[in-house]
Amino acid sequence: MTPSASADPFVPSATSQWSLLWRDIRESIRLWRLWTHLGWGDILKQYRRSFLGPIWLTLNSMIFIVVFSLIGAQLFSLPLGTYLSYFCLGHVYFSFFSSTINEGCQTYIASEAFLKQAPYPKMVFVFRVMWRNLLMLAHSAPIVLGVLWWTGLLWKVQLGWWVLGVALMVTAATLAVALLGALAARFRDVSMIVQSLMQIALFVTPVMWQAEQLTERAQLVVRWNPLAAFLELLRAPLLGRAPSSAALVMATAVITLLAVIYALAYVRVRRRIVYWL
Amino acid sequence: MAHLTLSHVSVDFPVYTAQSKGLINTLMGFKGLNQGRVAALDHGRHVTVRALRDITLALRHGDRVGLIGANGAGKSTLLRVLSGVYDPTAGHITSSGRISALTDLMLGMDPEASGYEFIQTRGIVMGLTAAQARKLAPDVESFTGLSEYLHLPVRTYSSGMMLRLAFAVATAIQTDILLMDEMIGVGDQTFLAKASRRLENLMNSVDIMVLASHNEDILRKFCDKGVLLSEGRVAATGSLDECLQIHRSQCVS
Repeated sequence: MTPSASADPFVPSATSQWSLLWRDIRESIRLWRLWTHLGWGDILKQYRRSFLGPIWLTLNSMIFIVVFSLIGAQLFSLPLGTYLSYFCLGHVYFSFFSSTINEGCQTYIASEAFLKQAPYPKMVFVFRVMWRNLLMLAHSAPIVLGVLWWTGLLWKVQLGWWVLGVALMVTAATLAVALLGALAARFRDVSMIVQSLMQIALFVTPVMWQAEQLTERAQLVVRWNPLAAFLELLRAPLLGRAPSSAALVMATAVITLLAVIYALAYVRVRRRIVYWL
Repeated sequence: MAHLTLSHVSVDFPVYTAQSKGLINTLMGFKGLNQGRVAALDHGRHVTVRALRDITLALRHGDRVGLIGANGAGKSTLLRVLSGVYDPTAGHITSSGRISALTDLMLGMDPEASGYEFIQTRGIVMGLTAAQARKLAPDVESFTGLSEYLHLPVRTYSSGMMLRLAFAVATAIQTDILLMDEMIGVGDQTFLAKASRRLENLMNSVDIMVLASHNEDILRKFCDKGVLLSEGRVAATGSLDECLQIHRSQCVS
């Protein structure tokens, strides 16, 4: 080993931060074994803590959905079947939004040990959070299928629209998790702020009530609420109708905006994230 | 052939106070009531601590380097720069070869998971496929002598058993450049002897090895070259003995 001579043999690397970001994304996808394994491991941890394992997770939300629907149907004077299918889908998807966004804030903070051990591409940990939450969402599939079958909606499902909705939602959520993860690593109060905001969001998003029940002026909270748009994209096809075009426009706009912020932010701060932990 | 070259590398850590760690505080420019000394530091907005200054090093094939220096001299930070974890704030770093850092042996250990699951997880974390990771098991079984326990959750192990398992898995994977932070010196005598034999084998198989330690005997056993760090700078490089000597004279004065 020799201290290198005074003549600097190093050409400053021509690879720009843009291509490094692109490489980060590609490498992260290539490491799918790692994030699927870690995400699955996170789910196993939850199974081990409960007696009934996966059944408990499903049973828990099933009981909640049925009990709340019995009350909600009376409250809004709707037929039980109509309200049950509406609320069941709303609850299942909103729980997914809420846990993904809240856990998104912990993306890098919770993976500190990994990030300080080896130069993993950053998106690996974003994909881990997404994978874990999608697996959690899949636990509700039996409930959703059961409710749709019982209400006779199962054969009316608009599968093409639903697949599109899922694709748009996964894209937006991935970008949001990446942004929140970095922001919350730098500013430690972000996860608390987000948590409060998501609690409020539950009430301004048509999860348990329907937009038509509001006055025209109050419906603005639905029209300008991105969560409501994504909920519409995911829920409407399963209730047998195409999603509203306003929701499609909103979702596309949100994804575009998130993608621009993501690219600008990650080009700048991707390499700083480890310093913040 | 593996190499690892640092040219004028510096690392600055941002120092965040209660004020600059909060988003709301930062946006509102809120000055807390009881600021104290640290907050006063924050006046110039960007407070940084320079952990490494202008480090230029070239590690070549066959180098066995002992990294020495007082606490806080920057040894761990330098190891993290070498492994690629910290992207230097200034300077360049180039390398070729697989780099593996044995700093956090317990990484990926879930108390509720079994020993076999840990082998699997750690293998995947270090870049193997599931099938390749499973192939590590026989080697780990024979080294640790824990074959009957590997089906049980890790939380049922004694701390010595846990260490044996973690050490065995971490050292089961071949690499080109090996970076280690003071890791030996725990466990009973028989394990220590076994562990150092295994480490020797691993070290002989790697191209470049960097070991940060305070223990002169361990350094002499495994390294022939030295890098002495002092307050984030390279104070001396050369043979390990020279560096140790300089380090000792610094400590006395």
